[in-house]
Amino acid sequence: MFEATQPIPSMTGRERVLAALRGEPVDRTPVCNPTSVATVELMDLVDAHFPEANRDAEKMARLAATGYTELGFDTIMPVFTIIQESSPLGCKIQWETKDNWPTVRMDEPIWTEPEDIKIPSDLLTHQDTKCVLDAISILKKKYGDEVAIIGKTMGPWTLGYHCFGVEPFLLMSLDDPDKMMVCLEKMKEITIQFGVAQIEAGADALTLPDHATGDLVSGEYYKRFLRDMHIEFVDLIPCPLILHICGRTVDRMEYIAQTGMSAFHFDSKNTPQESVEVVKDRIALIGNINNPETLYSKGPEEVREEVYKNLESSVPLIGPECAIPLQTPIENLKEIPKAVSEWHADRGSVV
Amino acid sequence: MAELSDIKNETVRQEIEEYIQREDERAEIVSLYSRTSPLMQEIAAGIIGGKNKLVDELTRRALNDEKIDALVIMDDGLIAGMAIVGIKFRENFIFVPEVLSCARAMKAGMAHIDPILSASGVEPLGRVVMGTVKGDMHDIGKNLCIMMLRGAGFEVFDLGVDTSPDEFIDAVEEHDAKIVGMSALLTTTMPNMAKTIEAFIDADIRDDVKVMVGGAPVTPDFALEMDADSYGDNAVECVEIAKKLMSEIKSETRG
Amino acid sequence: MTQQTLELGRRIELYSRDPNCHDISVALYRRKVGQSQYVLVHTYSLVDGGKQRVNEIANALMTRTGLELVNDGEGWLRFPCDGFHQRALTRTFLDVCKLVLDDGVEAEPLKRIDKKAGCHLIATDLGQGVYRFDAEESSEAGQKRAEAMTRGFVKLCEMEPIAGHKNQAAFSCGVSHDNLIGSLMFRAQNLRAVMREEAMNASRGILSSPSQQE
Repeated sequence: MFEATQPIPSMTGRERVLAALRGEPVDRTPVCNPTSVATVELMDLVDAHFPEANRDAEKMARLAATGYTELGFDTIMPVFTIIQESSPLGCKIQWETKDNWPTVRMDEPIWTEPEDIKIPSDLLTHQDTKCVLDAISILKKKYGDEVAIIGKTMGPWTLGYHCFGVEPFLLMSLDDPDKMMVCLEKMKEITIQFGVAQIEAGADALTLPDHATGDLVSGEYYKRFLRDMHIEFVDLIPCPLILHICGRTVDRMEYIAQTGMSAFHFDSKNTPQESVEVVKDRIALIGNINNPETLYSKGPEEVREEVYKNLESSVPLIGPECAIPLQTPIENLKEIPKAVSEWHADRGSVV
Repeated sequence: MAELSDIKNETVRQEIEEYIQREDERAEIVSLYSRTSPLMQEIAAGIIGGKNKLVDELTRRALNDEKIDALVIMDDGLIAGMAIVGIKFRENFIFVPEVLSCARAMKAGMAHIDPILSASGVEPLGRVVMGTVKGDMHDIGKNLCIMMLRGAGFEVFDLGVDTSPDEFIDAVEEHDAKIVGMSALLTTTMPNMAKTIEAFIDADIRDDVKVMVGGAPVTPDFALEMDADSYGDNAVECVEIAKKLMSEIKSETRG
Repeated sequence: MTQQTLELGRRIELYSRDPNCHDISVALYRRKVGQSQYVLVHTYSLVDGGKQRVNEIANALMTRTGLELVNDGEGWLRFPCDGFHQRALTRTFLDVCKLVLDDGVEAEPLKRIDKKAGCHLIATDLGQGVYRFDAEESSEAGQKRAEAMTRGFVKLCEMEPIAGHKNQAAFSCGVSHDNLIGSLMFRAQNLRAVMREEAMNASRGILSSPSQQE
């Protein structure tokens, strides 16, 4: 965290987030959700429920806004799921119910060879991608001066899981790494197109989930297959990029820090301290409040403890580690910005 | 006492030397391999290297030319190989792509073994219903566990992914299964494990089954919180857990 | 900017999708008032019938748990013993939420058929919060099931086992709770509460943090 020599004037949430993503001084640590903070109770509050809120721009915007209006975050992130662009690609989507996440049926893959990869002409006009672009526009108009609007575009590794199936995709990486690279190169175009469209719609930053997670593949895999592509994204997608990879990733954070991306959204399987030690000030970290054990299962006191642990380790943006369970209690989410403000107030500190 | 040098196959020796670091495990693995024939060790080496074509060929040779018993091939060749794979995976020497490749080799061998075992009328150790919970489409861990369980002699009914509580219950009742195995790879779907256990209580059959849970985000604390009977860290452990649970069931039945 | 979410204390249970009322989410909130613990059945939904459904659930919860209305006009409830039986309460709440409640509910009797025992299991209030569980017909199977039910209640209602009496347990508040016992006999019969002493003590240490013991 940059130690300012003079007090920083009060900032809007948007200013604060963008400054932190640039590694610049802020008035207080921003509270950021690169991933969903939607809950079933918030859905009831604004009458915007899953699955419709993932397919209708008005509902998507209304539900996403509660992250700011009700919970007090400095960001609004309307792309709750990780499957929006997989729908126009042709993946079979299971849209599920109010209290369950939509998913791609990865057991029914749509591609097996690089030649199968096609970007459809309606990639950006399909219901499930257009609603994202429209929701971002709505949010930009209404809240764009106050908070940072964050979009989301899935990386090629994750798209590979969705379209090829997880097992065939991972086996391809071993059986024919060159073929794997061809596939990734082709799919990266989807990431770029959807990402740029969201910037044009008004997004201030983009989350880029690309699930080469330590639970599945080694750190060397990330370096071999993805790092250089992620470096390219920084040039080709003109906005701050927040890389998101779930699970244990400290063994690849060195490579992630080399990408030039603005931030890395990290999981609670990595401690704040060890993560900060690896990346230093090359990339901003966002995280890493535990979802299932803390935000979902415990109470505000435990949430506060984790917030403080992150702040004390100089994590520059605080938030949940990943998309929160839909049943997460509201008071636990509200505790995050509350704890951040009180931590700063206790220390009379600027950052 | 068996020694590493008693193992004829060089690949297997090297694998044990380099990757099996816990003393008790190494002693157990060395003892196991020192009793097996060179051909079985070759099959195991093929499993460890993910060489499905080789394992396929060697298994056929063992069955048809050498007339070795199918159970022996399964235990001393295929499962012995997966035991080392499981340890390497647990210790992060290899990751899921490599394990999938080894599992593919195992499948190639089991394709010849399964029909023989099914026809032989050997009583299964127990009946297990396995599935990934509702909302979760990941099945790598589940599939590995199923393979290991079948290899160990369990009859396993694979419910696939995105399995609802009702589907688990129907399967338990249809197959008279005593063990339910649930897997989740997402933190967002873990609560569905608790919902499934709750559904078992609602259906008045919770006492009739043992529930084991696993998956990357699942922890022993979470398993305890949702009143699962056991938690497994990996596919190899899954077999030991299933055996332990069957033995608990038997002693509870005897009462 | 005015927040619409309320400061209701701590949410202790959630029924995330009620198919009996337009899939609304119904929650149980808890807060401390003085020395007492209050709970509230609540939904953020404004759908037609939502408020009525919440009232129905609250009424059914009162019948099934013995909770009483606090006279504040806002729907908060409390146990008359002034204690708090969270585990039993949340369990009963979830069970009640699953019911169609147009005609309300009645309290459950302290007697329930048990197929493994082959007869009814009966709960008897011995006073001071102590309950004894017996099989209607005396048999080894019946005795085992009564003891299993007792262990189930120890876990479900956070009751204290009574030394020397495997079929007795007590509420720590020292007050009878027939409603809770009746409501949860079904659960206690099916909960695999094998009394492994280390697991129970360990789980209490791990599962309840200091902040949960208000």
